[in-house]
Amino acid sequence: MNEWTIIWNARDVFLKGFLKSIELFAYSAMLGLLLGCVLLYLLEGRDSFARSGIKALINAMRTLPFLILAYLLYYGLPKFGLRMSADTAGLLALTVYHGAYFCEIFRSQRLVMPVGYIEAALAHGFRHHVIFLRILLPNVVMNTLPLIGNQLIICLKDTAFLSIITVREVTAAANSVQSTYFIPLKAFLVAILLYWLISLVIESAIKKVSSLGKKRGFNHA
Amino acid sequence: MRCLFCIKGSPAIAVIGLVDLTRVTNRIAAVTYDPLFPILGAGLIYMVMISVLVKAQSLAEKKARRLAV
Repeated sequence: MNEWTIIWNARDVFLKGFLKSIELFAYSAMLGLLLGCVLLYLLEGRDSFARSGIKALINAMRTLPFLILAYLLYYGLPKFGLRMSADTAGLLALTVYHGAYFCEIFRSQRLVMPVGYIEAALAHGFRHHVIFLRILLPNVVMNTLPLIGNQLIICLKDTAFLSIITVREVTAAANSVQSTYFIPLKAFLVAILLYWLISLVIESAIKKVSSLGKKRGFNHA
Repeated sequence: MRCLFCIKGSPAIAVIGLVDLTRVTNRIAAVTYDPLFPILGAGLIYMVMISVLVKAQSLAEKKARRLAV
């Protein structure tokens, strides 16, 4: 039998893995972006004890390899009686890790945002959370779109690590096919193709959103 | 910045069988049946390595800015 026929016959495994990867990526991207926004909101204002705690947490995420974090959540936490399924542990790891990165991306943009924006909003009597929601957040998000897209693709690539903590996604599917039929090159080529497809979708989505932003007048310099 | 990613991606090579810090961690965990502390230790070592590089980077940036101005 032709090797491609073998892969075509194992399409169910790949499809299941593909859907799992998309699911993990979609949830972690949404929750991570949300977490990034929430952390950005919490970091507004003068430095306090809690804020330096959040900053320390973000820095910890930036210096910890993702695989070690996933290991810690899946293999380490059961010692404290916290046992999660592989999917939950993977999703939690992706969300926390990339949420911290998203917050860092937003914060870098927040630091270079003109002070006049906030001052004008205050002068018009906007309240604190309204300023954040309607002025700060749209500006920050729209101006960091390329960075967000980049981080989303890194997030997608990090889902591949989760095959090591026994999540059944594309890499795990390719691995099981290659170890059953011994066709490593073609199995992983299919996995690469599937990841590439998701990356293309992410890129075009970011392009769509940024053209929407251009229409709404976000990229005046 | 990218050299940090290089270190942070290095645990991936443990998967294909190279004996790096992550692989050693797994071996210790497999022998002692107690994965928490080896993983915490490895995480700490990675964090120290990368923090040193982050510090070096910020020093270099400061130096570069002083030279540029």
